[in-house]
Amino acid sequence: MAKTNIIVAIVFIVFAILVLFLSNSIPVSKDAPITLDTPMFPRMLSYGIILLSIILILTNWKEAFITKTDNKLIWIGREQLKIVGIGLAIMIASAVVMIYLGFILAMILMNFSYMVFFKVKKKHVLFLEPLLTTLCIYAVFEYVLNVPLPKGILFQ
Amino acid sequence: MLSNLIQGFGSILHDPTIFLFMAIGVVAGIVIGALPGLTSTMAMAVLLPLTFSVPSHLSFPLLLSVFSGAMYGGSISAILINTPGTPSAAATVFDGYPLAMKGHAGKALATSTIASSMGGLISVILLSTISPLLAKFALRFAAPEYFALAVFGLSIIASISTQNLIKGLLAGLFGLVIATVGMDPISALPRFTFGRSELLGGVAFIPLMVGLFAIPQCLVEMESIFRTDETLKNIKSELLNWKELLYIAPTILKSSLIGAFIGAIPGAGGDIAAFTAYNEAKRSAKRGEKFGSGELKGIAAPESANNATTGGAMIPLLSLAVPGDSNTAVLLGGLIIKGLQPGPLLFTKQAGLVNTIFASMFVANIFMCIIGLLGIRLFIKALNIPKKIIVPVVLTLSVVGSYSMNNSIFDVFVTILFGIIGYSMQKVGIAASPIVLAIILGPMAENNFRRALIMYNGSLAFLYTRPITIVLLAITIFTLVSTLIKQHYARR
Amino acid sequence: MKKVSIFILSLIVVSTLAFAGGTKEVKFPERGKSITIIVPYAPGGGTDAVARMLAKYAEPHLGVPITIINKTGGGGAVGWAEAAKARPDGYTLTMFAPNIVTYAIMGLSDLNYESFESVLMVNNDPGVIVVAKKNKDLDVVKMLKDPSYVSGGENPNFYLLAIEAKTGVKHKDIPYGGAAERIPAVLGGHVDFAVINIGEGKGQVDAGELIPKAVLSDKRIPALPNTPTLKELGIDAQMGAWRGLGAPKGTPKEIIAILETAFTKALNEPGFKEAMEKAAFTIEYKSSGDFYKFMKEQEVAIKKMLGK
Repeated sequence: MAKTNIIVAIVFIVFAILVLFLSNSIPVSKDAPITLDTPMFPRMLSYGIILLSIILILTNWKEAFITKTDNKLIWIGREQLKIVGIGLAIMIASAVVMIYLGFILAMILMNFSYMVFFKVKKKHVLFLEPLLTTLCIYAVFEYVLNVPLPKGILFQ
Repeated sequence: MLSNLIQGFGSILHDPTIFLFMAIGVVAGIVIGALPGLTSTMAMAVLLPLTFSVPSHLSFPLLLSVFSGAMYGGSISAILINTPGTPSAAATVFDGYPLAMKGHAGKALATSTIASSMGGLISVILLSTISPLLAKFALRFAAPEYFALAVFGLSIIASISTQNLIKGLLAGLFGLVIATVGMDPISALPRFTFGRSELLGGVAFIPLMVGLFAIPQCLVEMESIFRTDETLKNIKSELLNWKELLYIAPTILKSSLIGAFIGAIPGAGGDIAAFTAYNEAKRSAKRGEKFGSGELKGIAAPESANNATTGGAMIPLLSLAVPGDSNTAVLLGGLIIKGLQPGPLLFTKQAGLVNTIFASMFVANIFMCIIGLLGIRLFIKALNIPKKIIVPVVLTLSVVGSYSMNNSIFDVFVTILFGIIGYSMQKVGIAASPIVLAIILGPMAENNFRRALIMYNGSLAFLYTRPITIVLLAITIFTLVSTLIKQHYARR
Repeated sequence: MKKVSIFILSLIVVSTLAFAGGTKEVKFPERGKSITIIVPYAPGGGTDAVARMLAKYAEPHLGVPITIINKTGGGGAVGWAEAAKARPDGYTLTMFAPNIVTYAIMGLSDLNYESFESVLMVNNDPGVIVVAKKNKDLDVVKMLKDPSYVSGGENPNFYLLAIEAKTGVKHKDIPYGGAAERIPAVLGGHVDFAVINIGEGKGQVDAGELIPKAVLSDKRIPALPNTPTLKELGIDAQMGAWRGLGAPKGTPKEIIAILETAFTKALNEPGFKEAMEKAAFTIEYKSSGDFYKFMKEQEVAIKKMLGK
């Protein structure tokens, strides 16, 4: 875990520097009452993150590089990474599709893609799950909760 | 007074249709609460127009039943699929899910059902007896007190980050940074909004919650999706025995008091109460109690506390016309549409309605207990659904839930982004709960600190001249130190 | 005989006019369709409550159902952005509130009232200066002219800015999130006064816990007949939280006129008046044109207040 912790610390430091950089473009009101300025709090947090990250690096340094007792990188295997990557890609693609084709088509497509991706063999599950899930949720939102779901800009 | 409660019972017994409305409300609330992304606020907003057409002695019990049911329902998904259905159930995940994974889903659900309804009942009794007193006390909370309360809440991060304190604190700071996105209410200037009006109000909370809990859980389940489709074997459906019930009783009582008290403070709701009660239960734990790996008290504490806020939150609503959270804000809308002005006079001028509200909350919690206990066998079946089906269903719910909060596709992408962040953090040993706690409390801490500075013309004197602030800060230091000492010895 | 010939004559005139000019009679709203009002604030709030009451009483006059959609975020900007994008056919409307004017001036939104067609103004709740019970006998004019009194407001506090523009005295204003935080601050004695809308604090006012001292309006309001206006007391500051209906830019004039007529009828329904009075909302009707003029005046006044 030690090596992982050092990587985590570095990622957090990069994040904090990004926040510090972005906080420069936060406007400051000229006639503000006596109190902290608008960008002040995020800046303080960024310094806090940098400080804690440095402590995290220091406390893990020995184990990671000197004694090397605990320097295994805890990460996920290639196979898992691929699965998770594809799983996320399907979701992101479906959200994009939803803008154009609307909720029903996008979600049927998403559920069907997952069924195919998960190698579901049973025909009735393969086709019924996407249809039932999507239409049930659609019906509840559209007619019971009165929340209109996206229709898709292609159908407007 | 308690007599109000009894009069209330009298009035709801007049019209048995109330019970039908309430049973429907409780069931609807439980279902909505259990599904990640669907919130009780949404359901109550849908039912709000009913207050136009249905008499108030029916519509308010219905709304209150949904409110109570949803507060409890959130724990079901927290226990069974490691995804809190509502923000208030975020602390229930700590012990609920591990216990379910040990095969004791029945015990976990029974604990949360009993704790939830007990919490609700205790808070209704408090509401009907000492509500004016508590309302007066809540009025003494000004910016410095709110700041101290937020700091106390944030200190809980230390006790829930058992694996690595520094990483827990880093997660907390990350959450605080995310919470600064949006319009800064003190100066009316935007921060980190990148010119998008969707971000002016900050990163929407429900999409963020769904992103941090539901999506990572689905991705974790996906990792092993091609291994033999193993659903949890050996699920015991036994509930609680008397010994266990007695064992959690003191925790329930203490947590309910904490919950009712926090609920009475406007702006502090079930989420803060649940974390605070969990923290206290864990801090005062005896030797041998294994918090974090399926401790019954770890389920009882947050669940009784968050349901106790339902009664607590009614105190500022009814006596001050100040909604404590988004749910009571909808109730306030309902009262206003009815032309009923909450305030001290409501208790005298509309005593009948107030009594009905008390009594129906009482009955709703009893219904919840019965329906919950009867439903456990059904809920547990969720564990038998193959992963290949439950993962896409939960993901679809996540999309629709995050979309429907503000009817915005932007929020769907927020959910996905935080899903990726949450998953990566989980992989490197950073928990999501400190982030959630920080996002809830960050604005409360910052805004009130800055408000207090304005009150005191830039001086920090408010930290040591106000009695309630001093007490709250002292409690913070005390719990922090005692937790850290305990953790230190536990590690040896 | 004469009547019949006149009738036939007019029929011919009308039909030729209709065919020649191609001016079809606008059929709005069509049966089977429904009108959506996008409320840019959360359910349960003041704007939402007014929209729901309005919808309920306008439905019979339009003959189609009206659905309320709450699209919250960005102080209203998110909902308005959505409404501005909608098809300008009269089937999508939105509720206007002061932020439609102020946010554009503050640089927080690209849209303002000019990005819409105004339909009508429905209500205007003037600011009411309230103090806690213990300050019951305080002279409000003296208070407003003494900078040592602290106000519980928000940033920017247009009510206070309007008063300060007339008195020239600047008060310390502690910015809160909304009335839900301002009222407890007054009740708890953490600030000396606050300017609220009467609907937000009526329960406390009726109970005598909050004392209304003055109203920031031209005339006294029905909810507080015994409270003087600030104008009567010599400080002519007026500012309110107003609400009205808007339609996407480009909605045909004829449709706007039909909507205006129908909603005006709703405004005059006794049931609507009673519901608004019960909830302590002050009805203030302005026609489409007057509403536009009103917002233009507000824009000028607020630009001046903010020094922009």
